[in-house]
Amino acid sequence: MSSRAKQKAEARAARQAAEESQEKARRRKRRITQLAVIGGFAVVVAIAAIAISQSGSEEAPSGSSELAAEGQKIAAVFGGIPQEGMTIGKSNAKVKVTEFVDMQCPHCAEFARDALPEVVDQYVRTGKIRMELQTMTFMGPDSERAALMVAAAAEQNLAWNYADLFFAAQGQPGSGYATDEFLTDIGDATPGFDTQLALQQRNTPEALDSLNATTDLAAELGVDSTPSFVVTVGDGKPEVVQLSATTAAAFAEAIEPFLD
Amino acid sequence: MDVSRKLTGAAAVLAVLGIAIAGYLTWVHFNDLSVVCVGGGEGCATVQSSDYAKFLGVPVAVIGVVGYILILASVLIPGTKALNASVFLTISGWLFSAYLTYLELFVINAICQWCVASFVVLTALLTVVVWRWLTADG
Repeated sequence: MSSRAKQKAEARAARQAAEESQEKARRRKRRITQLAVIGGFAVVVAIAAIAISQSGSEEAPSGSSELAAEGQKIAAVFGGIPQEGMTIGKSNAKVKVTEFVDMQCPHCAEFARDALPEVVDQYVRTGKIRMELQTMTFMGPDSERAALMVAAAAEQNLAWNYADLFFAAQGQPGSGYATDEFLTDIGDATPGFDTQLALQQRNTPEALDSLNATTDLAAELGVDSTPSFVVTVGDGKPEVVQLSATTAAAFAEAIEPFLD
Repeated sequence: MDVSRKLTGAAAVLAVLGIAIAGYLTWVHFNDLSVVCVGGGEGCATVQSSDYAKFLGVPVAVIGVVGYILILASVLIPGTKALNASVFLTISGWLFSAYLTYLELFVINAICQWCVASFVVLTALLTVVVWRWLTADG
């Protein structure tokens, strides 16, 4: 090959290499732009999902007037029905329904809000059943602090009122919201409740024993989640029943077979 | 086996692992069971029963199952559109999972090991899927 032809071939090869390199750079740039666009869309979708998630959480009553109004509403639900310790309902009711709750459990709060008023009206007030509350504490220190206050409220025969108002004002599980101030606010908004007396009584050995007894009873019955319901007919064997949802209709479906 | 096929295989395995984790949490949710957690289930129970365990009324675990199935499908289906979809789905899922992990650490103050495991799987999946996308022709 002549030197001129060789020079031409070299120049062509150099030009081709430069074009390839430019094409590669262009392709890389295009790919990075594509990735940025896809990533951008993904970020927008994720931010929208997060915004929806944050706006979805319901506001619990927090101000003292809101709490007091809720306390009055709850007092009306239970009004005129005998309460003794952790039990509500007529003592001669043949069927006892024990509800295992954790005071921090949102599904327990759902049941208290969505189902309990109707359940109380249809089954407890009419003497078909009596209900007993058992407070488990597997969700942490706030659960224990709340459960001890419920045990102290039981001494005043207001356990159901106190627990129901606590559920209505329930905070984020494990966030440390069940402070003395919070527990006091709940007590002060519960009609007829002596908050100071309960604060003194909550750490008695009897109150602590009642929590341990609940843990033992739950283990014995095989209850490991909340809310759980156990039905006892007369002196019969307690039977754990499953609710398909935290609604009055689901409660009725589970309970009716035990009623004559 | 070329790099692309290896990356596709790795992404598929990770997506199946994600389906298994989210599937377990879904099964536990609908059967009203306690989540099995190493060293006690307190953290898992707290997270699972928090307000953030549902998105628009749908359990987050169910959304996880659907998300991982979509990622698996986008990884296995050939073509540029599916390739782009796999990146889009994985980035979206990773960001939402990162947000849920933030909630566990700083809002709920409890850690669910299964959720952490899912976040780790999604992080690995994101790496593999983006790598696969960058090495693909186009």
